[in-house]
Amino acid sequence: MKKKNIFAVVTFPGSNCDRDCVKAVQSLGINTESVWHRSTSLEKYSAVILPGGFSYGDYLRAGAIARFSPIVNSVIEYARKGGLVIGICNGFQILVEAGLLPGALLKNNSLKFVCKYVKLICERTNTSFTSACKRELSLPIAHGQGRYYADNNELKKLEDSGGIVFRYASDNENCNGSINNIAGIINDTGNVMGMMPHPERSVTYLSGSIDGRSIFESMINALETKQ
Amino acid sequence: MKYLVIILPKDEVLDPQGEVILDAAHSLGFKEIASIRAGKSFLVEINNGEDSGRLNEIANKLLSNPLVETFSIQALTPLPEKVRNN
Repeated sequence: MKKKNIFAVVTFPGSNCDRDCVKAVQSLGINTESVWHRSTSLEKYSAVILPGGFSYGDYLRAGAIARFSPIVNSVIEYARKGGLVIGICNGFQILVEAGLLPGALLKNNSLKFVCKYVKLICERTNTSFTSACKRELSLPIAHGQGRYYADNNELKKLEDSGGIVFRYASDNENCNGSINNIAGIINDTGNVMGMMPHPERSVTYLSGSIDGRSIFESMINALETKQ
Repeated sequence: MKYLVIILPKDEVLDPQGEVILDAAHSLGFKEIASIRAGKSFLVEINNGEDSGRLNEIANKLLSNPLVETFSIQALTPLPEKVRNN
């Protein structure tokens, strides 16, 4: 019998996109559960979502305290075993703080919190997170600390290994000053992705775009192909 | 014993906050200020005497992000009572 897929969405104190993530994945017919950050058990889940928000009030650095929440060690172990992990916005910040993805996310160049739709280029459609994506997507961003930074060595490694999955479509669309217009990256083994834009906020026509659906659909496709 | 841990962005990392503060300083007439880097500091008190080197570890692991920040640690000599009360 086929294993039923269940997605986990982790809630940290200060997460505020966790319920949107649960609803977005549920809208695609997938059983999705909210998991409190003190939990340490992820065995029954087929994929883990670290949602957006302001975990621990962004104290110290965005994601820096959440990285020491009990569940993050389980997420690291889960990722090490090949489980699919996606970090969205604050979730991405937590993934870089935890060392599951390289680089850092710094204050936007403008020092402003930016909340709007941006155009993105999907650089790779051969990943478990993007196989159903179009080359050009329109997704909302909402962050004050989204300027992706990596030093020259790390950046070269990312560029050479195909680690960059999403870029802002132009310098104008890059409203945080991210190096090389980077909006989303994936790890070497292809099972951990982080992105600043919010796919969960664009899964119904009511919100202006349904391009976000394709990311969750890609994950579901990847899981079903694996079975 | 108390220590001051000072965190600063690395030289090669753009610091928009520092630049905005520099602009404000210039518009207040402090034209002699050449640059400002914005960081943060932590006043840390150690139980039972001096730091054994573990402050370095926590500064590296938690207080700073070594990818983009540097830190320095200063031991604070206890100030005379009078000054402290101010």
